[in-house]
Amino acid sequence: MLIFVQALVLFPLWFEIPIWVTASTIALMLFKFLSYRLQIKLPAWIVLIFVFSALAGVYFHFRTISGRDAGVSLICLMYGFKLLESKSYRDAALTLFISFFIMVMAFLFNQSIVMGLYLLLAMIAILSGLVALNSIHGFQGLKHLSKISGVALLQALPIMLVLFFLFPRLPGPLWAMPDSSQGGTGISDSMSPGDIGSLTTFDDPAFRVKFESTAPSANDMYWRGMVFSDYDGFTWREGVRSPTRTTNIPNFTSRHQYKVQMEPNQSRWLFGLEQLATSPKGTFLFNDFTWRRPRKITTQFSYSAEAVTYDYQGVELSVTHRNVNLQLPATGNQRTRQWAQELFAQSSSTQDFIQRTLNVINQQEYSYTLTPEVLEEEVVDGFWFDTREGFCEHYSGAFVFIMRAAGVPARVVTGYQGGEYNPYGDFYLIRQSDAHAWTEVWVDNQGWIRVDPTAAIDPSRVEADLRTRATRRDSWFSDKEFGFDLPQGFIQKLQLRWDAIKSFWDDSLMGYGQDQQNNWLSKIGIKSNQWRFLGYGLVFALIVSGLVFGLWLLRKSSKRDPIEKYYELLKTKLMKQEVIISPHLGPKAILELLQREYPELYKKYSTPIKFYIALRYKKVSDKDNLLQRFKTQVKAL
Amino acid sequence: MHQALTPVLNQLNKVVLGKSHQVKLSVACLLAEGHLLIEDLPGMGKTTLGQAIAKVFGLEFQRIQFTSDILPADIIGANIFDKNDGQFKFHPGPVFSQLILGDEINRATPKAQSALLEAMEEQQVTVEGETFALPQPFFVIATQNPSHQIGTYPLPESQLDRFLFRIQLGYPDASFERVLLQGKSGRQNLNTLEPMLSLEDLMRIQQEVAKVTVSEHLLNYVIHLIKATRQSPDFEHGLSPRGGLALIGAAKAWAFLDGRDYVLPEDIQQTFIPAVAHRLEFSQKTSGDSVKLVSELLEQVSVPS
Repeated sequence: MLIFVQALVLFPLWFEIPIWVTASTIALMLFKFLSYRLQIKLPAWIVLIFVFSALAGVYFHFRTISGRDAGVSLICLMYGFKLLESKSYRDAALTLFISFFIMVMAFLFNQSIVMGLYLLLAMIAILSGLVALNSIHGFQGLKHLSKISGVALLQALPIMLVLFFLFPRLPGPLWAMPDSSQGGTGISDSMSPGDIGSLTTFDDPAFRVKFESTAPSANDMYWRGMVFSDYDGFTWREGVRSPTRTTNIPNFTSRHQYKVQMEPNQSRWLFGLEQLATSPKGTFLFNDFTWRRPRKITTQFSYSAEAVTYDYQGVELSVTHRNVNLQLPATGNQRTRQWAQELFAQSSSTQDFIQRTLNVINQQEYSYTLTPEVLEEEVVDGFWFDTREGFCEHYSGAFVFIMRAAGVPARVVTGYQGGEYNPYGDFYLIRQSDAHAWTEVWVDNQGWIRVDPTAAIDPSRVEADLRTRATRRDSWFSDKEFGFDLPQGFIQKLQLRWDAIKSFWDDSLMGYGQDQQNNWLSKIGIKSNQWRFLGYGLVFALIVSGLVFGLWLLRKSSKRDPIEKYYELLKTKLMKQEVIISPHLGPKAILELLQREYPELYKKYSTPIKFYIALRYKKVSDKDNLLQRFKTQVKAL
Repeated sequence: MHQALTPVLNQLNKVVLGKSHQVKLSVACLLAEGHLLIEDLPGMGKTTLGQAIAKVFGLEFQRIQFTSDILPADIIGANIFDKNDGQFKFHPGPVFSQLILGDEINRATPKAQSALLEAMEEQQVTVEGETFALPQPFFVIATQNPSHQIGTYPLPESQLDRFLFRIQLGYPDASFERVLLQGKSGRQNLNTLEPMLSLEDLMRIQQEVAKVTVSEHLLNYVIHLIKATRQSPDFEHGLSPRGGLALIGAAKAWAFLDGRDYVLPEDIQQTFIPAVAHRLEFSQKTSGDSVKLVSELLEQVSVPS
């Protein structure tokens, strides 16, 4: 039973700790099982050697014994050893209680629903273990045990709910571990040819968006994350920019209100529908209209935002800004520079120039592929005139290059485009595969306008398999070879529904942090500062009432029976005189024993024992007086 | 009042040699108004003990020798036609007596056994619709041979329950054996025994015994003991409430014999085995001596402080 519980609890951790630790814990459990069956016992010193070698092993593996991974490994090992030396009731109870702790450690690595449900199962198993351990009748079948444990869990539910809603939250989940080695997925802080291509194959969710007002069409959903304005001929980087409080553009009209729920991506940038207005709480707004968080996003993080349309009538681009967005390497890609300047000379306006460039992409043999030919030098020239194949970043990079070469301020924007609507949860899911790069071009009196050169490619020249990507997921599953004959879209519906549940889990349960608690409490009329006071008051009240209850119990037990207390004291004093008193000996038997074998002690003890007999078994009128005398007698012994 | 009993006990011990504990238990049984079952081999002095008690207390004594062909009418009596009166007249049987020694009760058929046992429980006899009260006090000492002997009808549990005590006499000590073998058995003293207490004295003592204090604290101990019999895997079922009452009654008599007007845990312990052992049915898997098992149980339950 104990081994089973242990295996259940350690299971999720096995994937997180070094393989040799996993192997050792399994070996320890097997050994315990065998030794129980074969009645073998290891001498204590051998166990001690194992324990120290395990300690050393952890130290040499991690070069430390603190920190998350090393700590967890160490605890898992010690937990295994604890089982090895478990013999008595106390050991077993201790092991089970430790199991609760080990169980919660799994949350350090994974906080998904599946893990939650799994740990619920594990918790029932631990409780069953405790029930079986404490039952007089021993093991009475699994059904019986899980019934009792289930009932106990249900009884704990109200307390759990109260604590969930009211217990003061720390800013950010408790289990946010800063040194999580989990690789950050998502777009990176620079753009070199091929970066986004590797992303578009990931189907992992990037973030979810819920619109509080009407949603724009999916084609219009450009989620800007970063702006690249610095180009060294190969890689686009973020340019000079500064945090700003407001965008300095006085007039704007609000378009959409929405709420974004980010998956942890180990990065600091946030995504928003253009164009951004004020920045959400806890973030910075930069003057290139990007948001940044001061810390990396290691846990679910959500924020509310607003999409606006600015009125750029009469707004001038500052000189610094203009220079930043015209910057190009001094040399290289001469063919493109020349081509761009020629085309600009033919154009009537900036808009016309943009349109002409897009027409080139649309009408000439430019194609979209995720596996373009790799270019090492003169990247833009090579793409624009020779290979003419690539994906969003090739197009946007080249487009900005052309714009700048002709003296038009432009910049590359990366982020995500589109979103899959989930009707069950009423939100849009944006996946890593929706990563995209596009451009913004400055047009006087119109401001930064979004231009997506990739969208200009003629659809006939988009690789066939990319065009069908949206529907491909269905066809994988409905493949007749698998023997399923699921209705079209069934899997997709199922997936959407699952994602809706998951969104609720992440947003409402995992994401229930300090802010959400404040909101919720202010809804029921408790203000932020008040509730904090109330929260600490609650904890304080709990502690005080616990203490009072404990004291009351203590008092009750001592007040209820001073006779018992002093008789026990008397017996203890006798025992110290090396008189063996079995518990089934009554006072008279003790008297007789003393008289027979310890005449000296009999002289001292006979009076208090006789008092005790009178107090306990006789009908006495003056009980209080007798009790006082009994007390003094016992104290005097 | 208990001082009056000390010479009684001394006198009895002169007749039944080396069995002071059993003698004391028998007297306690009488004082607690219960009936006594002595289980032992033939020739251990069962009858002597019964006769001695009858004589010392000045009780009217009848002995019924149970055999396999004894009939209920042989015990309780029958209506017999009187020629002179021309009417049926009830001729009381041996059961109409203050002290009855039912010898070898388990040799009789269940029907005959139950005739006596019903009389014991109800203190009255009903013959053909007519009820006759039994004399007071009414004390039955029954003897039985160990049940594995041939030709015995073991008493069912419900009937064993009617006896307050079941005691064993056992073999005498070597020293007493010697005296017995020298022919100086107590049997000769039996005839010289004189009643040492009047009937009124006995009744008054019985009333006083009933008044002996049983404290709340002692009840706790008894409750622990009863609970232990019910939870122990050695027994098929635990002690009944009637068994518990019997235990307390017995302990009161024991305390009285010790010269106290309150019951101590030791009184319970002393009377526990004779009062309880025969009421407990041993579970199938348990083998061994019933007395040993019950005394083990006694050691497992601690006396509350």
